[in-house]
Amino acid sequence: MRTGRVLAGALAFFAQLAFPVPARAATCDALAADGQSDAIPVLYVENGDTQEPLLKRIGKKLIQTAGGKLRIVYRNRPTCELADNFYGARTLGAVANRPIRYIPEDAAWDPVTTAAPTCDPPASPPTVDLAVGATFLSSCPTLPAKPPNVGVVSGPNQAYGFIVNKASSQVAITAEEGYLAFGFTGGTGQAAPWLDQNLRFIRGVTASTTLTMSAAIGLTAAQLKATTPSQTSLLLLASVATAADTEAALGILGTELFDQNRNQVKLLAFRGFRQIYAYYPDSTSTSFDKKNVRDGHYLPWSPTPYIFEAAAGGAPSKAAVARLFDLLTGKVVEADVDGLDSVVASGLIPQCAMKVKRAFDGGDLSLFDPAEPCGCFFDKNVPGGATACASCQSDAACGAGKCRHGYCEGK
Amino acid sequence: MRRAILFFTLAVAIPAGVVLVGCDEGSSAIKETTSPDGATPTPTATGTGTTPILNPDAGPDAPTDCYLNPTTHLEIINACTTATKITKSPTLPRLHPDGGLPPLQ
Repeated sequence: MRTGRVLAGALAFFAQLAFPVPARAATCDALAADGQSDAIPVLYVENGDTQEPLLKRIGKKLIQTAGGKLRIVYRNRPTCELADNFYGARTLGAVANRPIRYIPEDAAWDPVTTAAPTCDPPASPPTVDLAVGATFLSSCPTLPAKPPNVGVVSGPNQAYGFIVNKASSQVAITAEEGYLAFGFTGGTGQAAPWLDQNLRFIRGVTASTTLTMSAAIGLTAAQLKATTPSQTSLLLLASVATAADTEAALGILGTELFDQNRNQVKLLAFRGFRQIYAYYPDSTSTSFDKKNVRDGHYLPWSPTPYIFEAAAGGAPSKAAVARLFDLLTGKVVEADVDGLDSVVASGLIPQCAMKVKRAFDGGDLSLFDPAEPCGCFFDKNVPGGATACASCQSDAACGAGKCRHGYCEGK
Repeated sequence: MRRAILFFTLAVAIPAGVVLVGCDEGSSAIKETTSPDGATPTPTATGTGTTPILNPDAGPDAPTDCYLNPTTHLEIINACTTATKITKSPTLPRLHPDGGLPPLQ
């Protein structure tokens, strides 16, 4: 089953590259022209492209639910740009090469294997309700001060990594190697085999992938010496996957996108500064448990900031934003919408499954003990997952522990 | 004390192209067999002929390359684990003799 999903993902991946979805006639605030209902409330989102798989998964559930339907209309955009927009104009206007997409009502639409259809920006751009970045906003060097009526809270954690061609013999990379490869022009850093600057692939300097990965190797995004930044993570992935020099190609990628394309590239184990061994984000190169992110052995990761208009007291002023966040954090589970399941299935790590935390990109780790842990649920629900925790329907089955998301947690 | 010992280990062993092996969970420690210079890590060599003690209060059988009860950043990232761990000892001519990073040009 896993093989089938990987194959389907790979086909969708290449289909998106080879056959970009053409712009539709419908504008994003009037989708009836595309056969959609305009009666369904819309949540306008800007998000890092690493967060698109999650928005598609939860979006499918929210538009198919027997409860209150909600349509997500979203645009992928680098973290610092979407934050800057939300702090300022906050409009979902036209942006070159960054199409707006919507979650369709078609029950057969597969959020994993199928691209979401596009729509055109309305003449009067709608207001962005929610911006979802994928790294610490403190990493954005030119972001203005946060307006007083804007709230920022940490969503699930996002891990990143160095990727190489599938045929590369490399298995791991150290922070020192990353510093020397990306910090110096051409091959002058002498970090073999990554000596060809034209084969070092990064995203733009406002993208979370670049910001978090550069911090992990002691550099700023602007200090990276690479080829022209890739417009999207999928294009970067394709560049590494198809590089003629399979040994010299080196790129950076969100691990959730890697997880969906493991048959295309390899993710290197990473050894941070002052670390003895290199580790994968997962406990092995073939598992999906994110064990090393959760316990602090794997270092390139950051929380995803959810940026919203806040009411007095700090809560989201828009009910749909609060509903989405509560679902994704597991605070609320609706009858047919389990947001935590979407988070885990998307390769992200909910805060409730973490055992460490940090305050900024590249910052030191400290121990973290979530108030309402969900580690058992996480362990069980990752692909190939298992847990030794007892399943439960209520606290009565858990002794001194607590029944959370169907499993007995310690508290 | 523990931190000082680990700093010493990292400062000496890693720049010398040597990475510690022989963890308590050695079955999960693997070597990268294709490091850029073709080198492979060699067994513990701290330059002093002594084995570092990272868990001094845990008895003679305590692991020597990982922390049993991590609390600080350094201990967390080097905590004992059953996960796959990979040793790597690249030859990096631009590093300073003490393992420090060269300034950017």
